[in-house]
Amino acid sequence: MPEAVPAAELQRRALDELMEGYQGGDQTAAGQLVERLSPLLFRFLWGPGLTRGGVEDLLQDCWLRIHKARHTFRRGEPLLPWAFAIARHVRVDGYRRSSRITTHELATDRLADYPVASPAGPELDLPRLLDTLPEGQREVLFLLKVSGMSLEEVARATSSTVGAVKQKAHRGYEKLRETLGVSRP
Amino acid sequence: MNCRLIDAYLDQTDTQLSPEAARHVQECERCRRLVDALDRLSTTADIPVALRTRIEQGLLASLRPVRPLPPARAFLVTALAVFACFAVLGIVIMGVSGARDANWRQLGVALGILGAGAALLASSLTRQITPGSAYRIHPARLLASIAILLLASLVLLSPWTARPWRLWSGWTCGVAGLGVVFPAAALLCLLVRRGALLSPALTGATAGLLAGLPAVVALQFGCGFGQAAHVAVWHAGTAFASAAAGFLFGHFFGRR
Repeated sequence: MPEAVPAAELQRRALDELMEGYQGGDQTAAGQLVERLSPLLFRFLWGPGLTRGGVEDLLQDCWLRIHKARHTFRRGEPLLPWAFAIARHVRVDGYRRSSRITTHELATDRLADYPVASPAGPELDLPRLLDTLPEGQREVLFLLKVSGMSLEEVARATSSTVGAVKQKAHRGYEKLRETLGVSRP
Repeated sequence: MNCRLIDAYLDQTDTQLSPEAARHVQECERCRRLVDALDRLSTTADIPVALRTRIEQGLLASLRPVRPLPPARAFLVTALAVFACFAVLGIVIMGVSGARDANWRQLGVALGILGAGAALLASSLTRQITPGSAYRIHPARLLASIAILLLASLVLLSPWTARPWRLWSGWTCGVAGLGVVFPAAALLCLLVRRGALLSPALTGATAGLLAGLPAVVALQFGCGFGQAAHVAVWHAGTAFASAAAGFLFGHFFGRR
């Protein structure tokens, strides 16, 4: 009897196949890839101090870079670390740009009001919860817990090592425990 | 079971909590709140349809089939071949008068370090041109380690008091070294530009140091003046100058 493949793994394989179609010039695959990846990329690019329009610009910039670099995706390698490694650099560049702008302007259209599709449950300001973390920890926890990537994939996306990712995640968990209002016994 | 072990469970994406871990989460309020919050963290943003359409139209307008990069191994072998070819070419041009003066232990250790450094740099370069590659050591740390090891080994293997030495007297070694560096760097640049350069300055420095190593090999063989200070400034210095030039080149032109 064949071994059951986890749903997350199937989703990843589907994404990999779409990417291969995109490399081959398949318009349908490209459209589906944009549809599936954009929400995740958008949430990843979002951060404190950015306006809604600013993040939309970053998302477009991110897709432009993905498009230019699509030949560098090697078949058989996981897609998400590849895409998030590119998105990470777009994000850094975006922050540099926005920090230059916000020193002179006051952003009025903050993303705190941006619609976020959340599963049913008591309201908790989840996007802001991760924003309480330092950038490195936020990034690692986002990729682990929101994107559903493995430790090794997060290490690939952040050009880091598994050990460093584990350490950042642990520090992030500790900080979140404090933020959630329960101090260490 | 303690909170630290719960963190290890949280790191895994598809792993269910063991009965023991689940019991700890029930009893420990810190962990319970954290697990609950992280469970509800799986949120995605709603993207405006107009934005998604705009992105799709932008991509489809220039959508053509592309040829994926060759396997990483092919790139690695090519980068190492550039190192080896220019090292041999440099030795052929500069001769082996330095090798005659040095003993085999000195030459063997220096060549071993230069060869291992080239292999590590070529491997790092291969990963840097492909986003999402796995690293054991961060490229910047690797670059600094190889540079320090190279300088330390060359200085320690060479005598300090063989002959009196003046700084500018070794400029011929610098010029000869750059004669090897330029073509090697040009070839590596052609190789690297096919990839996606996320950190062009770092990739430039890595390629620059890799292009500088065959020059150091050739100078170690060809230069008969094996004084430590001369070797540090004019032999290792050629590789460092090449790395610095690569860094600047990547920084200013890498994004174009």
